[in-house]
Amino acid sequence: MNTWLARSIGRKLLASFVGIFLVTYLLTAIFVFTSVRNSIMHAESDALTNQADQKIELISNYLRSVSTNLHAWSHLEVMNDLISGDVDKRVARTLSSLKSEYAFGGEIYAFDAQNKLIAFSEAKSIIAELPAIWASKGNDPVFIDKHSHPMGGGKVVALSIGISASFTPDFKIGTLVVTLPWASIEKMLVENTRRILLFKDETLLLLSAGNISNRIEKDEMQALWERTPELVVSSTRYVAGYSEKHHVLLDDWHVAALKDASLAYQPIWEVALKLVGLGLMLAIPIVLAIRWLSRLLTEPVESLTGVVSGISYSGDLSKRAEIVSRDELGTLAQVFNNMAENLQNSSKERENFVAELELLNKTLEQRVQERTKELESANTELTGAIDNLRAAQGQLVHSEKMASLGQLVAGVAHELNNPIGFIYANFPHLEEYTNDLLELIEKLRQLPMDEAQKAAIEKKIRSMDLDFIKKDTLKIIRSGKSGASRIKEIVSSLRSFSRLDEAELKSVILEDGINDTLAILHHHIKNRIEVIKDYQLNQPVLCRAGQINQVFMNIIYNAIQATDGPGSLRIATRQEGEFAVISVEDSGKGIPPDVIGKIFDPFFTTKKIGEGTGLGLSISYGIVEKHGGHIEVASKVGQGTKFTIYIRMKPEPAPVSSRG
Amino acid sequence: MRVPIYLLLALVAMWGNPARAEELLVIANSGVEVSSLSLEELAAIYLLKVTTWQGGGNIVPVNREASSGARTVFSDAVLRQPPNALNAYWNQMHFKGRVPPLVQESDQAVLAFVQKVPGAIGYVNASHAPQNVKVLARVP
Repeated sequence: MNTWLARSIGRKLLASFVGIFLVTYLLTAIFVFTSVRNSIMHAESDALTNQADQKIELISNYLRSVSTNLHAWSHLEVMNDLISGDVDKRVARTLSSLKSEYAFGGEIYAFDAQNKLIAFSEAKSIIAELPAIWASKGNDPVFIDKHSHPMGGGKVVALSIGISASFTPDFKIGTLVVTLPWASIEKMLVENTRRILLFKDETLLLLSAGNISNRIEKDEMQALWERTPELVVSSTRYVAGYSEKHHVLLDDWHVAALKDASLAYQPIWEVALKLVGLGLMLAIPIVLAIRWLSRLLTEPVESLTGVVSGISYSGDLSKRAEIVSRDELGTLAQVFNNMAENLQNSSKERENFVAELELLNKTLEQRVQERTKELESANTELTGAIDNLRAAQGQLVHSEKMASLGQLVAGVAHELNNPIGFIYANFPHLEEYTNDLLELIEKLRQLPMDEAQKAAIEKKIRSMDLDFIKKDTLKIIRSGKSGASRIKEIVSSLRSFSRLDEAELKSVILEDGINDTLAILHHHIKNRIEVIKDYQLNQPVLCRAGQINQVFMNIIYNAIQATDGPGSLRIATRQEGEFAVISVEDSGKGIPPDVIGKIFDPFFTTKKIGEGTGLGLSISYGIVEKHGGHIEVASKVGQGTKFTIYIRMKPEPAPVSSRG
Repeated sequence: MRVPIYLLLALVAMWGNPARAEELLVIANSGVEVSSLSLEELAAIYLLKVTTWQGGGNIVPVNREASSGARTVFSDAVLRQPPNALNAYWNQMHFKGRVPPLVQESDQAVLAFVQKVPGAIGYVNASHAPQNVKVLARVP
C-alpha cells in the first residue's frame, strides 16, 4: 500500500481526499444516524405513550360518560316508581328506551330499596336480588371492575349508584346498575399496528392482552410493571409506551402500547440505508472530481518529469517543457526551461572549453619539448656558468693558497739565504784549512821522532784510517760545497718563484720561469727523467709571471707524475705571431680518450685522495685564458702527452679583467 | 337531559285512561298524624304552600298524570285553577327549588306509593276502598 501510494502524488491526493471524505462522511453519518435514531426512538416512544394515554383516556371518558348518565338517570323522577314496585312499568319502559336511545351495549338494572330487581333494560322480567358485588355506596357512581356477570353471560364491568327519592334526598329508594360487556372495552383497545395491553399494577393482573394470543409470563408482566421501554412478550421484541395519567374511576388501570421492534426500527434502518446511499452518491462524484483534480495537478508534473528524464537519458538539452498553465506548475516549467537553457549554454561553453583543452593538449607535447629544449640549453648554460664559477672559485682558492705559500716560501727563502750564504762562503775556507791540516799531518809524520812515539802515532793514524779520512773529508767538503750550492740555487729559485705571484704585469723571460720550476721539481726529475730543453723564444713576454710560473709548475709536475720510471721530458719555446708558444711533452702513460675532455674540469683528478686537488689544470686553463691564450692537449695512451700553451706576447688592448 | 324525559312522560300520560267524572278519596300514609283535611288545606299542600305535617314530617303530594280524569276532577274541585295555570305554577315552583307533586299514573301506583312513602298524600278513585292508608278527605 505504502509503495503504491509513494509512487504518485495523484494517488496520495486521492487517498488523502478520500480519507478526509470518509472521515467527514462517517462522522456526519454517525451523528445524523444517532440523532435520527434517537429522535425516532423518542418519537416512537412518545407516540406509544400517547397512544396508551389515549386508550386509557378513551375508556375513562367512556366510563365517565356512562357514569354521568347513570347519575342523571338515578335522578329521574320516574325512579320514584321503584317505591311502588313499578306497577306502571314506567321504570322498565324508561330503562329500555334509555338503552335503545343511548345505543347502549350493556344492560341497565334497577333494584328497589329491598334489593329486589324491579326493572331492567330488556323487555322481560326476571326475579333477582341485587348481587353483592354491585352494591352501591351512596349517591355517587361506583366502578365495579372486570367480573363475570352475576346473572349469567360473559365478562362485564359495571357502574352502580344508589337512588334517592326526588322529594326527600334522605329517602333511599333503590340501586341503579349499568353493566358494560368487556368486549366493548376491549374493542376500544384494538389498534391495527400496535398491541395494547391493559393491566393492573397492584395485582399484576392482565386485564386485556390486546391481540397477543399467547399467555404472558409473569416476568413479562414484571417488565410491564417496571415500564421497560423495550421488552419481549411471547418471544417477540416490542417497543413499549405506557400510560401516565391518573384517572378517577380507573385508578389502577394502566395501558401499555406495544409496537413490534422490527417495525419500530424500520425507519431507522431506512435512514441508515439512505445515509449509505447518500455516501455512495457523494463518493462517486467526489472521487471523480479528486481524480480529475489530481490528474490536473500531476499531468504537468508528469510531462515535466518526462522532459527531465528525456534530458537526463538522452542528454539533449534542447528539449523544453510545455507550459500549460500560469500557476505554480507553469512557473516551475518556465523556471525549468530557463534552467535547461542555462544548462545548454554552459554545456556549449564546456564543449568549447573541452575542444580548446584538447587542442592545448595536442600542442602541449610540442610545447613541452620546446620548453625542455629551452630548459636543457638553459641547463647547459647554467652548468657552464657553474663550471666557470667553480673554476673561478678554485682559482681563487689556489691563488690565495699560492699567495700565502709564496709569502711563506719568500720568508723561508729569505731566512735561509743568510745561513746558506755563510755555509756556502765558508766551504772554500774549510777546504783550504782541511788541506793545510792534512799537509801538516803528513809533515808531522815525516818528522823524526823516537820509535815509540812514532809507533804510537802510526798506530793512532792507522786506527783512524787517516788516508780514508783524507779522501773522504775532501769528498765531504766537495759534496757539502755542492749541497750548499744547491741550497743556494733552490733558495734563489724559491725567491724568484715567490716573486711570481706578484699580480703586476711584467716583462719576463719565460725560460727563466721554466728553469726555476724545473729547479723546484729537481728531486722528482733527477736520475729518472731526461729533460730536453729547446728554447727558441728567448724574448721577454708581458705577463703575470707568478701565474704563468704556476701554469708551468702544474703542467710539468703532471708530466713528471705521468711518467713512471725513466722517461724524457721535452720542453720547447717558440714564437708564433703574437703568441708565445710553450710545449711540454712527456713520455708517460698518456690520457685515455674518454677522460681527455674532462681534464680541464675543476676537481677532476686521476690521483689518489690527498695527492691532488683536481684544480691544477683548471686553474692553469683559467690563467692562460686570462692571458688571451689557450691550452691544447694531445695524448696517446702509452706514448705520452703533449701540452701546448699559447700566451699572447702582450695583453690585448681591450682591458682584460684584472684579478688584483 | 331532563327535557326529553318530561316529553316522554307527557306522551306516556296521554296514553292513559280517559277522564271520568268521579269521586275521589284523598289518602295519606298511615304514619301521618292528621286525620282530616279541608279542601283549602289540601289546595295549600298541592300548591306547595304547606310542606310539613302538623305532627312533623315532610308532606309528599302525589298527583295523577295531566290527562287523567281524576286529576281534572281534583284540579277543578280542590285547586280550582285551569291545568295550564297549574302547570305554569308548578314549573315556577320547580325552579324555585320546591318539588312539585309527584305523578303516578294509576290508582294502584298512587296507593302503593302512599302506602310506602312516609308523609305521602294522594288521591284515588273512591270506587275501591284503599287499604293501609288514612283517608283524609273526599272530593268533591
